[in-house]
Amino acid sequence: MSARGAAACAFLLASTVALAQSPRVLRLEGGAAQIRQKERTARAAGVFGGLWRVEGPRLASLASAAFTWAGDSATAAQGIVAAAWRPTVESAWHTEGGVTASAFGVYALGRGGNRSAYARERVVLDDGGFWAGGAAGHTTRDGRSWHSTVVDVGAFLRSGGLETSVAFARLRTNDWPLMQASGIFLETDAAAHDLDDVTLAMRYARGALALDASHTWRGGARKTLARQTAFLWSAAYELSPRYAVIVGGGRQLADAVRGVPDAMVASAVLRVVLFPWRADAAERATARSSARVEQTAEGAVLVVRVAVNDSARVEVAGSFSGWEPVPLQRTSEGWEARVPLGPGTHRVAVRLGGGPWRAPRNLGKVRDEFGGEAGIVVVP
Amino acid sequence: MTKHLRVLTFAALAAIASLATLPLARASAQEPRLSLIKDDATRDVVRSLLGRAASVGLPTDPLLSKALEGVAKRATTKSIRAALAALEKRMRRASDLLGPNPPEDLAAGADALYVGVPDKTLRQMRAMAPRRSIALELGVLTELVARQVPPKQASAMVLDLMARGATGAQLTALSSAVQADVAAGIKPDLALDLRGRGVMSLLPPPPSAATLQGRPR
Repeated sequence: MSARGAAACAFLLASTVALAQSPRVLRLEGGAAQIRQKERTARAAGVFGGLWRVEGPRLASLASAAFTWAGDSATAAQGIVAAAWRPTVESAWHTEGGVTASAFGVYALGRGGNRSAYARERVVLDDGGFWAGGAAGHTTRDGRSWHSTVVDVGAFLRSGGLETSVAFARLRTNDWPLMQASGIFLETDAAAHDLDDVTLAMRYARGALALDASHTWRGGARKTLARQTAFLWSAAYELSPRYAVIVGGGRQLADAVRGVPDAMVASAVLRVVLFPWRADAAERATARSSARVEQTAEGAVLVVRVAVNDSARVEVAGSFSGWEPVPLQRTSEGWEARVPLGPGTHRVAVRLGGGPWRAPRNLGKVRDEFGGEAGIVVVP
Repeated sequence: MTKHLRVLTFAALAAIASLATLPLARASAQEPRLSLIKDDATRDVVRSLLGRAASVGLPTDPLLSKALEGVAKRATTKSIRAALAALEKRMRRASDLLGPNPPEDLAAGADALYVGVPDKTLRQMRAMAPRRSIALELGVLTELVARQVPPKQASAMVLDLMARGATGAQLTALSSAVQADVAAGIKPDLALDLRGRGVMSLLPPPPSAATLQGRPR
C-alpha cells in the first residue's frame, strides 16, 4: 500500500475526530479515502476511528483512536489523549494539553512510530479570542530518531454561525527524510529545517450542516527552501442525532511533529454516535439551560442561554415561533438566543444536537401531550 | 315532481350545503402555517379539526400551535389528533366557564385547566373582571402551578390579588420572584405565600364586588 498515505490518512481521520463536539460522547466512524503522496500514485484505503469525550464544567477530556488499512502493505494507527481545563466556569483562560502516539509503515520512508505532546493557552472572549502554544514530537523510523518542535499563535472571531481564525506557526525539525519526501530542501548544510506556516481557517455551521475550510501558506526560513500552499475542506451533515456523513479533501502539508508526510487526500466517512443516548441529551438540555424575559424599548425579549460549550447545535422553539427551531448563537459561556415575544402565555423548549425538546431549567414546566415537556413564560 | 324539478331541488340543496361549509373550508384554507406540516395525513387531520373548531366559534390559533408543537416533537398523527381533540374540549369548557370572552382568554383558560386549576377559579376570575381580558391573570396562575405551587393555593392568591387590583406587572413580578425563590431552594408554596404577602402589602384592601366589576386595567 501506500503506507505513507496510510499515515496521512490516519492523521486526517484523527484530526477529524479531534474536532469532535459534544460532551460525554462515544462515537465510531468508518469510511473510505484516497491518498496520493507527492510523486506517488493514488491509493485507496479504509479508515476507521473512535472517540470518547467527557466534559465537566471546568475539565474536559478526550481520547480518540484511528486506524487505516490499505490492504497491500502497511497499516497505520494513531491515538490521542487530550484535556482542557479552566480555573473557574466563568474564566476566559483555557489551558489545553495532550499527547499522541502512532505507529505506521510509510512507503519510501520506512516503518516506525511517533509520539508527541502539545500545550496551549486559549483566551476566550465574547465573540472571539486568541491562543498561544507549542508542541514537540519524536519520530522513529527504521532505527533512527528525529525531533521536531513547533510554536504557534493565533486568533479567532465568531460572527453568527461563522468562525474565522488566523494562525502563525514556526516549525523546526531535523527529520530531513520527511522533508525531502515532501519536497522541502536545505539551501546549505544545516542542523535543522525551519518552516513558517500561516493558516486561515473558516468554519460555518447552520442547522445540521457544518463546513470547514483552511488554507495554509508555508515558507522556508533561515536555510530552508520551501514555498507551498495547501487547501483543505470538509463538510459534515447530520442525518439524525445519531448519524452524520462527513466528506472532505485537499492537501495535507507534511507535519513533522507527528511524522506525517505531504499528501493529497479525499475521504468520505459515516459517523455513528453510540452515546449520548437521547435521554442524556434531554437531561443536559434541561440542566444547562435557562430562559428569562427582558423588557426592552422595542418590547419583551426572551433571552435563552444554554451553558454547554461543545454541542454542535442548540435550538429553541415555542409557540412564539410556530414551533420552528430558532438556532442559538455561540458565546463565550455557551449558547444564547434573543427572541422577541408578544404579550401572552408562551411555551418554550430547547434541544441539543437535534435531541428531545425540554423545558429550560428555571421555568415552570408542563408535560406536553407528546411525551415531552415545555416551559411557560408570561409576558404582560 | 318532474324530473327537472327534482334536479333543481338537489342542486339547490347541494349549493346550500356548500355555502354552509364555506366558512369552515375558508378558515382552513386561509391558514398558511398548515403548509409547515409536511405529512399529508397529519395536515388533513389538523385542517379538519381547525375547521370544526372554527365552525363553533373557537379560536384556531392555539390548536394550530399545538399541532405544530406535535410536528416539531415528531409525534404521530394519532397523538396530534388526540392532543388537538383534548385541547378543543378544554377550550369548550373554558368557554362555558368564562362566558362571552376574548379568544385569548379561552386559550389561557384551557392552559389553566390543563395544569389543574379548578373550574370554580375560572368562574370567580371572570366574575371579578367580566368586561376585560383575564388572559394575563390566567397565564400567571398557570405559570405558578407549573412551578409546583398547589392549584388551590395559587388560585386563592391570584384571586386575592385581583380583588385588590394588582396590575399585570405586579402579577408577573410575583411569578418571577417565586421563580427565583424556588431556584434558591425554597418550597414553591412557601415562596408564593411570602412573595404574595409582599405584593399585597403594597395594595389597598379589596373593594366591594360592585366596584370591582368595571375596573379598568
